[in-house]
Amino acid sequence: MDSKETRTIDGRKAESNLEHSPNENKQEDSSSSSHDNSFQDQLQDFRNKWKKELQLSVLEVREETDNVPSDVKNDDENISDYENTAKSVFLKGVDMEKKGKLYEAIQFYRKAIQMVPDIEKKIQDSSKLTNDNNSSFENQENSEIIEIRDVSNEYNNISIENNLIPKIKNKLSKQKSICREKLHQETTHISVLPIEIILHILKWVVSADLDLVSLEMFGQVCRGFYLCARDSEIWKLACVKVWGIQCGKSPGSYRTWRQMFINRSRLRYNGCYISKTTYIRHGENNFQDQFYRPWHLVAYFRYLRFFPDGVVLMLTSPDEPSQCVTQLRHRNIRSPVLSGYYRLKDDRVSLIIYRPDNLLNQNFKRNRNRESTDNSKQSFHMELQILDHKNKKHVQLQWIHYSVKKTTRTGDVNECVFDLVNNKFPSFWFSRVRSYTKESETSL
Amino acid sequence: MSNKNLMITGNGNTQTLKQIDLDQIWGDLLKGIEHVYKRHAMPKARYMQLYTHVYNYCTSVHQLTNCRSSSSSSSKIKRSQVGGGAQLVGLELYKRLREFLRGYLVTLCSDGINRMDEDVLKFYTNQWEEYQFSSKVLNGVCAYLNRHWVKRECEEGRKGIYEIYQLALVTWRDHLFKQLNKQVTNAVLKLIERERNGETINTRLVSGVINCYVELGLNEEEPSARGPNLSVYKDSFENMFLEDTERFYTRESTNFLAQNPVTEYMKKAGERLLEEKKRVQVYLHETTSERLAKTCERVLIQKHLELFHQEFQQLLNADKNDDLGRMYNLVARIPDGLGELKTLLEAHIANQGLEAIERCGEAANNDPKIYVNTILAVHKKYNALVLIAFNNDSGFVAALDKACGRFINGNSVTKNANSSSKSPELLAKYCDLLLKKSSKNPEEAELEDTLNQVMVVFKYIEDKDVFQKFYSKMLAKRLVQHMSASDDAEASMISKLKQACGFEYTSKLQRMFQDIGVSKDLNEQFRNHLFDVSESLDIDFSIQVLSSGSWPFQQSFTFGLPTELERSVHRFTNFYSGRHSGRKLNWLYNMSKGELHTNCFKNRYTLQASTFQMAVLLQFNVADSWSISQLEENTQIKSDFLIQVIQILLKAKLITCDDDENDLSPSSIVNLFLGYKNKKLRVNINIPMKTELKMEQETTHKHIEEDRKLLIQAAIVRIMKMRKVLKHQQLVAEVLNQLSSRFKPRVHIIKKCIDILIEKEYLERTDGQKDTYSYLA
Amino acid sequence: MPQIKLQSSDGETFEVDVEIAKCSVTIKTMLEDLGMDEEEEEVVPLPNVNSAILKKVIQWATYHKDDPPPPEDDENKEKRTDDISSWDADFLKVDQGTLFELILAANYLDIKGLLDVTCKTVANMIKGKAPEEIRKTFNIKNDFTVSEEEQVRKENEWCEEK
Repeated sequence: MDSKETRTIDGRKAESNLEHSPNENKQEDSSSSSHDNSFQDQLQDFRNKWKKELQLSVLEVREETDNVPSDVKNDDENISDYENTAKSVFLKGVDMEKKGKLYEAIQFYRKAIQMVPDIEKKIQDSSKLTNDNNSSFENQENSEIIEIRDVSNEYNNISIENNLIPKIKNKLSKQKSICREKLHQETTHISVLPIEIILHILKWVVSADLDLVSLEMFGQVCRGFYLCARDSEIWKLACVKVWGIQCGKSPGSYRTWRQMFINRSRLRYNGCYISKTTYIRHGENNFQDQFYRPWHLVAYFRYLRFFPDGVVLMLTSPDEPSQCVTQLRHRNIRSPVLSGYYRLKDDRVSLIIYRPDNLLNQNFKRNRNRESTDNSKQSFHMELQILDHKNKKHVQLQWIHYSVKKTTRTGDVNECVFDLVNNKFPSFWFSRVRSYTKESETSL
Repeated sequence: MSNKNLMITGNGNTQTLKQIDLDQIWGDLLKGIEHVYKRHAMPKARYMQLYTHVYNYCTSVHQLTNCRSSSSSSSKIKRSQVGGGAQLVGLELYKRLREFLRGYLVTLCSDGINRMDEDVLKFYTNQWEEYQFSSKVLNGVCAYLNRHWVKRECEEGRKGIYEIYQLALVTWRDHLFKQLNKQVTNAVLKLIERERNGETINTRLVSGVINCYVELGLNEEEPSARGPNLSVYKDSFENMFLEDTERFYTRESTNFLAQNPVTEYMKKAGERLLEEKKRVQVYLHETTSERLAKTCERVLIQKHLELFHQEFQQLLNADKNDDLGRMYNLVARIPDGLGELKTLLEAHIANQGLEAIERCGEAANNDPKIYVNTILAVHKKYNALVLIAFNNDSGFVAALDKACGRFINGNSVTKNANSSSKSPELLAKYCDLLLKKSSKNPEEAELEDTLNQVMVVFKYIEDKDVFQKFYSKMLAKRLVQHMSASDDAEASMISKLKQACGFEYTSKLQRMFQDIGVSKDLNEQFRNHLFDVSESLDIDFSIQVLSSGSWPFQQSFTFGLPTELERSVHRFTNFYSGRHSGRKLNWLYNMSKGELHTNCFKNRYTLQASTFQMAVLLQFNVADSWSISQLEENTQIKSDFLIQVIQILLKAKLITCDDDENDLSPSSIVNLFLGYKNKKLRVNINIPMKTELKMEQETTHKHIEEDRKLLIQAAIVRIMKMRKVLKHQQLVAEVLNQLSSRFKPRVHIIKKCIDILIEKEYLERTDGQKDTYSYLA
Repeated sequence: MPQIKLQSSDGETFEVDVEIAKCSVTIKTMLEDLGMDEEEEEVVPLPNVNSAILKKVIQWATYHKDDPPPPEDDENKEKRTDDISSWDADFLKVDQGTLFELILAANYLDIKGLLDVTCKTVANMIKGKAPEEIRKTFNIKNDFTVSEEEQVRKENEWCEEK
């Protein structure tokens, strides 16, 4: 992030040098005390200028990125429509390739090349052109550009948030209610509710599931709601739910409870973490034709769903997410979903998940003959690290440790620690599941 | 009803949010509040109206920004950073309420500041009760403010914001209590002193103040944690009250003791303690109870403890049980206060016991009944004392036990006998008296009771093994001679002993019991056997088979069994060895007896005689006179023994001799006395011989010594087997400990036993280490 | 059973069992503060509640009069209070305006159960909706300036889907 900061306007770099070396200034001051005032003035002047510039630059950067498509469009205007179509077809192919649908991708490529044989080169050129426009960015992919913009935003977020609240408060003071009707309505409007009630409702919105996304959406409705949604008491309660007493009495270096909730490592509750594991299993060679070597591609998913109160559900299934996530919606689970507990410490999560006795007992009843083998308790022990991905917070869980403990009826404990070879245990990735936060069950 | 605050705008269901300035409602609200504090009755409608004022003000949105501009800017900016978001309405109202309460109380205070004593109490308690009541109503009226604005302020950690009722208390504390509390507390203390001096006071005045002080103890740190923390009560009342109490009772107790005996003082102190306890219940806070009691105990009891100790001995001497109980109850309140009393009691009981036995004089030496009853009388008296006066306090029970153990195992009787074993011997003899068939046998219930008494004494006996020896010996005799008064009583006694000392202690006694039962069956079988083989019984014959080892009998010498008996003996021996091959029967002739019918006298007498007597008497079937040497030859009885037998027969006047019975020689001639006469037709001539008796006692004691040595050796081996290496002192200590339930081994005997074991190569002295033994496997 | 007379803002009087009326903590506190023993037929005016709403509130309170008291501890919150009971669901099938007025009345009268169930209903109308959908649902005017709206959106970027 540091290197990217310096990549912006030059003036900023100069300023940061000045700010970071107050001692040098002082030395100068003492040697030329007569110039003291004028120098201070100059400095102040410069500072003000730079601040303006900085604000501008933020706007500029945004404008620049906003302009990206239009730039491309401008270029495109010089090129024939035919070529344009070819380009879009080619890009579709790239898309497909990225998604792993190679067969379809080839269809698109073939079509594009049929239209314009050197389409690939042309596209490369045009993207270079775009990059030249944004000469400060080195990365080629669009998504990367967005990331950089986000970073700069995040940097500003803190100051913006603090600026915006009093500003909006100020504006709102001229208004007579928290919100206003858009169209006149005969029946009682929501604006009759006093603030304490709005806050009460918001606690229900957030609910014990910590659906703060809905709260943020609510804050985008109007100024009054914005103030309510920034209520520190709600954010504090959410933080306490996540970290308990580790929260401390004040948000500390996070400055606001909201910032703590957003930035401090935690688990997301409004969806599940999914890890897709694929491996190749070799089939049996055909002894007549040794060139026939069958292999099977096996793919399965591991799903983790976390609840704020320390409960975690796990499901391992070959089925696609769309079929599985609903099984993890509620805590009252049915086979084959397993449940257990987790504990958050800094950016590490420790999980213990139990395979309940009754699952084994079912097995046992079916196979009365092989009693002792199945009649045992099993628990899964995992340690995962929470990682951010680009600007998305807490979306990745990387394996740190994984072991399975088996306790037999006789009381012996067997522990099996897995070797975390990368491709064998790919990270979990978060996916939001809307149905999880559709209804409020309990107030925050 | 002034309607300008109403929020309904009349057009059907629609409501719109209205703006209400504080000034719009404050006038009417203030009027209402003043009404409340004047304690005028309030109609429900008015109450709801006031509540609605507060509600309307707090829910009016535009106040949100008003309060921003009106309050100090610096704190607000700080809050907007931390709190962010929205603010609730209430601060202005809260401030005005605070101001109202302050004003009200300042006025009130000026009214009370010059009052003193009961006057100030009346003023303070009255005002407090009314204020408290009014504030509760105010709190209800302001419920909406409490519910949202105050709650939120507290949640955000703002200091100095309270629920309205709490605010009222804080304001009272700051503006009335702080000004008046010194004179109020002083007045309360004066009132209490007057009550202690016997006056009747208005306790409501005190309890009113106390309730107020308790209620004022707010928890500043955590206003949400309800319930007072008593800080005000403790600081402004309790400490002073306790100082006062100490002063008062120090003076009183010193004065009282100067003019009255200790016994009277104890009554007074007990009453005072009770009074103070009641005082707390009636008008102080319950938490004071403990500290007040401690203070009183310190002043009333602990300070005079030495005096109590002196008095204690005199009370014991005079058997003043009530006073003793009173003293116990007082001193027991002082931690570790009873130690001295216990020591005194123990010494006293031991002395009483020794004196009682000494008083019996010679009689106690030989009469087990007197001896045991004397002991029991002492025990009973002091057991009752401990039970009633000393509340069966475990420390005093222990003192009683120690004292009894001391005087039972060492007193004038044991000193005369020069052995502590005299006590168990006499006790065992007492048991024999109780259990033996006699004309004086008590009723069954009474017997059981007496046996329990015996067990009380038994508990204190150190040499329980001596008791066991004597007891088993006497039990054996009772059984063999069918002299037991009651089988149930015997069994009950054995089970008592078993309970006290364990299975091992009574196993032999139980075997003896069993043998008697088995023998009964055996006789039956033997008779049936004879009937089956149709052999006639020429004499009535019954036997008892006693397993060797269980019975404390020694085999006697053999002698020429009279031919009349020989056949029966022979027959039974065959019968028995036929049933139990490999068992050897030894005949205890000295324990056997028989009956002889006489045909030679005027009347037909039946003589109950020992086998030896029978052997001699049967000789007279052959001739009327024999020389002693002839008799010895015929009967094969050893001469010294024979002479004793003859002496007894001479005494019974069955035979005559020309020589003096103490001067018998082998050549002396004895004749059958044909003129024998006796009032009874059944005559028991079977009297134990003197030598027999004496021998018996000696052997018993000797056996005990030997048994003890074996027990000690066994214990040493057990201990060493476990410890492998042990110092002499530790070994001795462990042996003493292991055997304490049986007897108290003497150390020199233990040493002797260790030497014996070293000789037998069970142990060796560890090389290079003094006084250390190691076990040889 | 003793009764109490409650009067709505528009003058209608309702006679209710005292036990039912005490559902409202406001009324309960008032009765405790002022005492109840008098025989007099005093009317309690509720100047912030109109007759239509008061009727509904009484209906709700009557139905719920035997409910166990709400657990004091936060610990017990986990109890399954999740589903609005079917009776409540039917009871709350009202237009938005009435819903808000019920909230106001519950708040004014301090009836926690009714306040919770109504607020929950509103909360579920908000959850999972985009800002514009919320505006539409509640007929709210967007009073942000363009730049303000942009700023807010950026602040909230952390939770956006893509």
